[in-house]
Amino acid sequence: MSDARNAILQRLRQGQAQQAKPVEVPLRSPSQVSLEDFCEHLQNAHAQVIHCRPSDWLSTVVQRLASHGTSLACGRSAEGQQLHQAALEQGLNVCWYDEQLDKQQLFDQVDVGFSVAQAGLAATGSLVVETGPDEPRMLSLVPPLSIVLLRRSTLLADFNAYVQQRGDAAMPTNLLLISGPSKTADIQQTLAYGAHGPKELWVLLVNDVEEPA
Amino acid sequence: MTVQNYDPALMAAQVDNDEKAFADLRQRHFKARAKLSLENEQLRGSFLGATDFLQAKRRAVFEDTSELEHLRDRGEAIRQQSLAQLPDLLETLEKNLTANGIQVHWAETAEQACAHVHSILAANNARTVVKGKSMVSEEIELNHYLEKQGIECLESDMGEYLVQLAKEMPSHIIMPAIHKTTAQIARLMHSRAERSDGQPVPYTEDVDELIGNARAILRDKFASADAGISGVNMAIANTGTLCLVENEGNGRMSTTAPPIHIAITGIEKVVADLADVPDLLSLLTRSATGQHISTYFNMISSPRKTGELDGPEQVHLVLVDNGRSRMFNHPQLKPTLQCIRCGACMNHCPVYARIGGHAYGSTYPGPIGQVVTPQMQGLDKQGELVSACTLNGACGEACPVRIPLPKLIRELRHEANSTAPASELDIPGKGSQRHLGEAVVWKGWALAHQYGPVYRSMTWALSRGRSLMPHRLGAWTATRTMPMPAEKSLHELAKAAGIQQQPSGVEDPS
Repeated sequence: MSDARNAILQRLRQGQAQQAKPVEVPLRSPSQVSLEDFCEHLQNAHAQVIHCRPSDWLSTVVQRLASHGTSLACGRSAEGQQLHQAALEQGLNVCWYDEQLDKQQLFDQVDVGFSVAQAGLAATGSLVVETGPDEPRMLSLVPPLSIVLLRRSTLLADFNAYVQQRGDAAMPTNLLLISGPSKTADIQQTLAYGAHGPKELWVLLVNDVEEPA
Repeated sequence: MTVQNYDPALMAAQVDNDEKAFADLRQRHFKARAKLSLENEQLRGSFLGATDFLQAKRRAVFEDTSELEHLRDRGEAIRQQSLAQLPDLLETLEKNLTANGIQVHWAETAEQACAHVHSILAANNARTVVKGKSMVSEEIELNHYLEKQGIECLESDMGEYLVQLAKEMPSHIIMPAIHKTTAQIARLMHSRAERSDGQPVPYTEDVDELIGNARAILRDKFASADAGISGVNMAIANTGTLCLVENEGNGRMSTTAPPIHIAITGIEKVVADLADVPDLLSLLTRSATGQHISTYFNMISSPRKTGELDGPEQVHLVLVDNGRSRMFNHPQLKPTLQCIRCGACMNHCPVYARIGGHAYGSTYPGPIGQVVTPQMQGLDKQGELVSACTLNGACGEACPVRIPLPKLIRELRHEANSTAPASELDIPGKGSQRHLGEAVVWKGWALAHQYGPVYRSMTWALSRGRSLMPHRLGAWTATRTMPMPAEKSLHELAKAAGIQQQPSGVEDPS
């Protein structure tokens, strides 16, 4: 209905003439990157932050999952492939998130999804996940337990800092900020976790910037 | 927490009664709705409790007031800049969305918007739809429209789902079921919710269990729905991106799991650049629920791309005008379009806290609703809404993008009584609230204050005739005593005390 389009735009252009130029207010300089704030925000939002090193993150996850006795799905990111391999070796129930896995199976049979964050935002305790062929959209959404890996070196001050860092880079299909497990307070302001998405969020914080001893 | 002795028939009857009471309320005029709501103790408790809770949460999250004021300046500037370039931004948005593979549809009216959604669904033979939270879809009464076309449109936001189950409307733009107690919701879920196997859900008053039951029902729907509908919190013109703010994950589910995603938004929601988004997001979540950020912030820039494993194959955006371009043309009322729909104004409004969302009888309640609704539906139909304001200014102080709400409400009161000649871009129903009696009183008042002799005769007559004043004066004296004029006017007392008349032309010391 291009008639509607033209009529709307025409009315808006009519109104444009009468306006004064609005003021500009500069951005505040970004706050310090605080690891403590990042962890505190996530914990307040009911997420678990698991501190690990590049050398032991795989064994840490696999060990924790072994005691869970659940089925895990991985995407084809480098870390996803490593985890898939390690989980297989430990005899865990693990599958690929690929064409073989249909939607109903994902909803009914997968308990744990593994994702990798591109960045972390300290000021709000947020994980930035850019989806794509190796990072499916539903992997961090449908399984009741979501595990997201974040490298300490990618932690930024806040969302503004991330936007500045991105510059003009093309946007992914879906750019997500995840700041906890899904929740609702729609029943008499009582907080409940696991509204529609994950009931639990584990953040694997891989410390890749540790000073040499 | 299960109840041992309960009667399912009695519960169903209570739920039906709630529905009837709501339907009854909808039939009445604004004043009658407000009165009924004020008489409902439970309802008043729900709203006072909720607004106190949300006010406290907002206060706690904005502990640094200088940061808050700076952010509000930023928010106001970003929104005003976006509006200043609105037609250009809309064209850029359309161009970039189209380049990204998202189809754009324009609708001048609610009817046109519904028809767009329906034709997209019909073209794809979609029969079942899950919907994330969208106030614009409420505004255009989309569910109702689709239902008539035989399409089931299930609300998936927990609050919206409960309200739909109860056959009611949201009473708050952020917390739609804020008017219901846990006990009412427990009865509602048990009487009306149906599991995928066709069985009713067990009775429980435990909030985790209630949410768990709804979760199970809705996850089955997400997995099987033919299409998903969502709102949009911000649309980014330069990147062609639709942004959604939510905590529950139903927004992500509705826009990711089904093969088609249809987003609906008002034309005012566009911003120029990604750099405009972080501060608006921060203002929105902190003002709405006192959260530093919502659980999810979801930025969608395209349908599923080659090689990707999930996400919808089609994404559509319906841009809805429905009166917005008219607001855009009103020099005083234009800031209405700055709104980011956080709900802080209603959380801080003493009238909203007492009469509740349903009394307004409109999609948008509270101060912003009083400003938006008459402009959309006309002052003749909704002009009474602007009277539900004490002009205490709390909404204007809470607004994260500094919309001068009290000023806009005053302007609408003026418009409602205006006799200025009509023009094409007028608010519908302009001048419709004008009453002859009221107009004469104000005219007399204005004359008295313009001419000294008239003023003196008026005060003389009032003070000498004070015993003749009526004791009751309509609704005003229902809860107040009638003010009694003094025996002598201030001017007379001053003269008697020997105070000289102030010479004219004296500079005001302030």
